[in-house]
Amino acid sequence: MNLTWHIIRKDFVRLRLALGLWMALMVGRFLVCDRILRVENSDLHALQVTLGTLGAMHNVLAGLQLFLGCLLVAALIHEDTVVGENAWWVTRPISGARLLGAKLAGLVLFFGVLPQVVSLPWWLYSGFDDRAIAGAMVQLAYTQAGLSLLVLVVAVLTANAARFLAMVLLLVFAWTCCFITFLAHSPDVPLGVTQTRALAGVVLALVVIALVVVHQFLTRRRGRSWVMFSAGFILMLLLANFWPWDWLRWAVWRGSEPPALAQVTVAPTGEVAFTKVGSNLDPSLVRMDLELRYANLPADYELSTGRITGTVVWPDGMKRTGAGWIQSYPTSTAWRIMGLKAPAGVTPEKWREVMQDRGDIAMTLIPRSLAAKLRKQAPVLDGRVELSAYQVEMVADVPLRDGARGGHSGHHIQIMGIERLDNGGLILNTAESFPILASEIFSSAVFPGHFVGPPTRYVLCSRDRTKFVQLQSHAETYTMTKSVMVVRQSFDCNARQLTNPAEPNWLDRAELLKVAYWPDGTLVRSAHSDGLVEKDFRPGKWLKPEILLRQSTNEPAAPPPKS
Amino acid sequence: MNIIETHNLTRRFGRTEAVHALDLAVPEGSVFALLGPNGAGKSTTIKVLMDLIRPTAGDARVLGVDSRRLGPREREQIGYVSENQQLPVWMTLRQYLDYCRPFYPRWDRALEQTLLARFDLPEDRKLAHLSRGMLMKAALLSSLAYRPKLLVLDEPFSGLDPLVRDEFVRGVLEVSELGEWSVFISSHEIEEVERLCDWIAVLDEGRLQFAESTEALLGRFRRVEVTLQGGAARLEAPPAGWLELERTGDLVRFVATQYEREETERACRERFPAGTVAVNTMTLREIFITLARAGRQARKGAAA
Repeated sequence: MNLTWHIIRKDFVRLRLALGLWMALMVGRFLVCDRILRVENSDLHALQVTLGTLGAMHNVLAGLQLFLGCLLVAALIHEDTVVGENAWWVTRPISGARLLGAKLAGLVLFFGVLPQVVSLPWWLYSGFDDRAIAGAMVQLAYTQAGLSLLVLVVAVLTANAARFLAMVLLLVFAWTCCFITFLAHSPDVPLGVTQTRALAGVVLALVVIALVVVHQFLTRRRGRSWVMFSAGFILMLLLANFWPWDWLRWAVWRGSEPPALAQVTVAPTGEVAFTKVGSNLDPSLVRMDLELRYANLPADYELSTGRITGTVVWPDGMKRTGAGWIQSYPTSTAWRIMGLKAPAGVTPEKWREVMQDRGDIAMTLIPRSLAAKLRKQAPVLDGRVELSAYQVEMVADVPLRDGARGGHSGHHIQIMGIERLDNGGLILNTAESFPILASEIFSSAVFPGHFVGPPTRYVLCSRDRTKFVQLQSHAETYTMTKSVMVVRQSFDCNARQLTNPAEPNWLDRAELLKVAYWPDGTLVRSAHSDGLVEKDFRPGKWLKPEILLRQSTNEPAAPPPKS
Repeated sequence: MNIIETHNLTRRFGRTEAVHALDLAVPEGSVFALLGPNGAGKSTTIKVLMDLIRPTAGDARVLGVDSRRLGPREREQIGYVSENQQLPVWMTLRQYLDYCRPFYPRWDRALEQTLLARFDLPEDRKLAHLSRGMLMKAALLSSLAYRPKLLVLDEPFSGLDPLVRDEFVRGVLEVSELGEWSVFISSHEIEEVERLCDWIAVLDEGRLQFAESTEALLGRFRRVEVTLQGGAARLEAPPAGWLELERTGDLVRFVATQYEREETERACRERFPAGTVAVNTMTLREIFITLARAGRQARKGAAA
C-alpha cells in the first residue's frame, strides 16, 4: 500500500501544475457565474451584451476545462505508459496490478475528490442545502467517472498525448460514421427497446472498458487489447442499432416492488382517460403530461405544429381548458398538454376524497379538428402513450418589483427589470440560478450549453394568494451559463387576463412565483388501434424515476428578504 | 549455476526472424557480452529476457525464473539500463533516486552516495537537462544502488563520447568489485566490451555464432602470416578453421580460428613447405570483423 501511495504522490507532483490550472478554470467559472448574478444595469440592451459576454466567457472556460480534463486523465496514464517496450516501470519491481491500483486511486483522488472539494465552497455560497449538495456531489461524481472511464480506455492503448488525441478523433469519426449509417436504415423502435439498447450499451461499455484496462495493465499486450476493444466497439454498434427485445419491461414486471397500477383508456372521440391507483401524489400539485405518438399515420392526415387547447374533465365534473401544443416529429406526432392546474375551490383533501370515490381523471387531448377527421375515417394507428406525472415545488417567491430577489432550495431569482408595454404586455428580465445545473458546472464532461434540470414555470399571484395566473411567454431570450440563466420574457397581459379592469393595479402588489416540476413517474404503453373503438390498455407499472431529487411540499416558500 | 539461460529462443516480427533458436547460458558472476552488428538481434534478445516482449518460440530463464513470469521479487534483483528506456526526465536526479528507493528493500544509501561522487552527477539538476552521458550514468546509478544480482546493459555506450565511455566502463568495473553480481551487456562497441567482459557471445542475423570465455576466444584466434621463399604454395581447399586466406606476392595471410601451435605449424608446412610462419595475436575487434566478413561471404555464397 505504501508503494501504491508512493506512485500516487509521484503522479500528483508531476501533474500538480496542470491540476492547479484545471481547478483554476473551475474557479474561474464560479467567478463568472457570480459576476453574472451581480450584474446591474438599467439599460437592458447593455445588460444583455454584458451577460452575453460573460456567458461566452463561461462557455470558453467550460470548454477549456473539458479539454484539459481529458488531457489530464490521459497524462496520468501516460506518465507510466502501459504501451510499448521502453516504459520505465516495466523493468522495475512494480507489478501491473499495483500500477493499475495506483492509477485508479489517482483518478478517484484527482478527478473525483478534488473537484468536489473545490466545488463545495461554491455550493455553500450558492445556498445549497444538504440534499442539494448531496445531489450535486453524486452528479459530479457520475459525470467525472463517465468521462474518466472513456478517456482511460483510450489512454491505456496509446503511448502519448499526440497519439491519444489522434485516436480520440479517429474513434469519434468512426462512431459517428457508423451511427449515421445505421441510423439512416433503422426503423422507428419502441421506447422500451431503445431504453434496453441504451442500458445494455452502457453495461457492455463498462465491461469492455474494465476488460481492456485490466488486460493491458496486467499483460501489456496491446494487440489483444485492441482486439477486445474493437470487438466491444462493433458489438456496441450492433447492439445500439439491432437489439430487438424490450428487456426492461420484463425486468420491471419481475421487480420485487409491488407495482402501482394505472389504467389508460383511449376513446374514439380522442379522449384519453387513466386511473391511477395507489399514488401518494397530492393532486393539487400534479401536472400531467400526456403524449401520444403515432407511427404509420395515413398520408391524408396532416397535423400542423402549433398551439392547441385541451379540456380537462375534473373529478367533480368540472371542465377546464388548458393550453398545450402539437408538435411534429420525423417519424411520429405528439400532442402534449401542459400546465394544468387544479380548479379553485378544490382542496387536496377534497381531491383525495373524490379520487377515492371515482379514481379517474379524464383529459381531452386531441384537437377537435383531428378528432372530427378521425370520426369520419378510422385509421389503423400504431402509437405510444406516455403519461408523466410531476410533483410541484414552489422554489421562489419574490415581489414583482425591480431588483427583488429571493428563492430557496438552491433556486434564486433576481428581477432585473420590468417593462410595461403600451399594449398591456409585460416584459420581465430575471437572473436565475438552479441547483441541478449548478452541480453540473463542475463537470468537465458536460458540454457548454447543455441543459439538464427540472422543468419550471412562472406564476404571478396576488399577495393574498387569491389570484394565480400562470405566465406563458410568447417571446423569450436567455443567456444560460449552466447554473445561471438570464431570461428576458415577454408576456401578453391582455391575452392572459393579467389586466383586471376591476383591479387595474393588482400587478403592483403581485408576486412572482417560480415553480419546479420534479419527475414523479412515467407510464409508457404502446398503443394499437384498428378502428375507432374504445381501447383499453393493460395495466402496467408506474415507473419511478431512479432518483427522486426532491420531495414535494405544500408549504409556501419563505418570504424573500425585502430589498 | 547460470543466471540466464535460453533454450531454442526465437522471436519473429512478421516474416522477419530477429532471433533464431538461440541457446545461451550466462554463468553466474560473469560479465557477459552479447556482440553483433546492428540488426543482429541483441536488443530483441534482451527485451525477451526482460519480458518487454514475448518470445515466439522457446523460452528464457532469468534468475531461474521463466522470463514471462518475472515479478517484482525478481526485478528487485535485476538492474536494467538501456539507451531507449524512458526515464522520468521531469524529475531532478535527487527526486529520481528518492522515487526509486522505496521499491528496493536492499537499496544501499552508502553505495548511492559513493556512486554519486564517483560519477560526479549533479543531484539538483533535472534529468531532462543532463547530457546523454550523465543520463546513462544516472540510469546506471539507479540500477546499481540496490546491489542487483544481475545487471543488464542494452547498448549502454552508443552515442557516448570516448571520455564518458571510459568513465562508464570504469564505473562498472569499479562497482563490480563491490559486490557479487553478474553483468549482461549487449553492444557493438568492442573495445569497451573487451575491457569489461570475461564471456562473449556473437550474434549475427539472429543466430548465435559462438559463446565462450574471452580468454578462450582470444586464445584460439591468431593472425598467421607465411612468407613464401620460392617454394610451392597450395591455397585451394584450406582447413575449416582458416578464414580470410589470401596471398599478396610472397606473403600468405589467414586467420586461424582454432589455433594450436603445433597443429597450425604442421598444416602450414604441408601447404607452404618453404615458408616462414609468423603468428600474431588478435584483438577482439579484429576477431569480430573477421567473423562478420566470413559470415557475410557465407551468406552470399549460399544465396548464389
